[in-house]
Amino acid sequence: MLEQKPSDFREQWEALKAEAVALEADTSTKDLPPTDPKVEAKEAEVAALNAQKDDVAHRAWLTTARDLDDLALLAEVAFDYFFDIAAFPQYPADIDSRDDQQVAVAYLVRGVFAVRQAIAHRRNS
Amino acid sequence: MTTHTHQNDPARTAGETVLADWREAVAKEIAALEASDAAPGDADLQLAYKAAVERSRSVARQAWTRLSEPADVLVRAEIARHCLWPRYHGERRFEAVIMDKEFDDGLELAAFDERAVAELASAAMWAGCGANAAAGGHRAPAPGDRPQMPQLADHELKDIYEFAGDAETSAQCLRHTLNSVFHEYRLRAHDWDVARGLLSPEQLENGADAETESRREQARARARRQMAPASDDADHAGGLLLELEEMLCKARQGVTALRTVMKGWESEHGPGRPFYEGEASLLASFAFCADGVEATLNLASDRIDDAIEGQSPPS
Repeated sequence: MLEQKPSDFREQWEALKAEAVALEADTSTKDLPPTDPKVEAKEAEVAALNAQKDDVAHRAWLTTARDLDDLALLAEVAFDYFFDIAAFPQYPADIDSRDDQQVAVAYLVRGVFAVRQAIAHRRNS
Repeated sequence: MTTHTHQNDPARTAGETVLADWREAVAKEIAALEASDAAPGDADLQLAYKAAVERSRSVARQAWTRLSEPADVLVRAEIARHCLWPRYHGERRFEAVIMDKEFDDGLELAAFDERAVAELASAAMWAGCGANAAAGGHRAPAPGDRPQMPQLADHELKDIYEFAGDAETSAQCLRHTLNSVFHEYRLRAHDWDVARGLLSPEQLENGADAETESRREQARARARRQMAPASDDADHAGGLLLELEEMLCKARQGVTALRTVMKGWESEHGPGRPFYEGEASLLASFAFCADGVEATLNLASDRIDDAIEGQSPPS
């Protein structure tokens, strides 16, 4: 059996990202009270989504990274824990004034993303 | 402005220069911190440490503005690792997070956000930012490539990492404890010549001729008569020596475990599966580290034996 890599989970991760974006875009419960059943249902959906993301993340961590595609998956996982994957690759506007740790994580993730894009662009041109 | 010798090396890429600059800045930060252990509260050393930290931050800010090659990602990975797990006390925590293990001093398992950054930084430093990344995928190493990391199974790599981390951390703890003991005895001996003579590392390391040995024996006898510590001091000194012995024992276990894993790794290779260049280099590096730590432990063990026998300060 071939050894797994983080990028093997890319398809699952993309599906979860799409779900995160959809949940973020749904503002139907925005003005409802916290105890409204629709609000509670949405919170349950978010919690279930987070559990699924945690599961993908943990399984990806058990594999061995070999290349930039693997790093990209790990980078998006890290981004999600600090900033929210629904907004990826956009960072909070105040990122440069946050603490050293958040800034370092942000620049590391951004670096992986930018280098991967640059290499893909060179390959395609 | 500080001149860095690596800046003039034409063979280095710009990214490698930034990486070398970063590592130099962190090394100075660690050196300033370790120097401060010898004289707590020294204002000059505190200033030196602050300057070293500011230099690290300055290099980090420069690194964040440039991104033109995969090596720049490696710099960012090292910066992220240093920010979250500083190199002078965070290595063990970093390794525990990667291994998904509870830290020895009772800290709970890492939260997923901490684990995510550790996994990303580790992967970037070990796998993703060499020539392979530039090619955008897997390929066989070419003669001009940078050395490839060994293609170890995940559990093998983690085993080696864990045991190397144990041995390294034990050696660091041992060094710090030895410094503390030295400081303790030197204060109580009030800069006596006998204390300086007993604690001279050059005499102990270079071997003593008969005359020197005789002088040392006389000095030890004088020290035993003159020091005569109070019961609290004796208990404290005895406690420190016991702590040293425990540290030595743990460090030896770490080295033994590392050698066991290395032997297992060697036995898996043969005519059908030769070493890659990177694998052989890594194995040689671990052997060098294990030999070095063991030699240091043997030296420390001899000194502690002397101290327990003669109730004179170890060095």
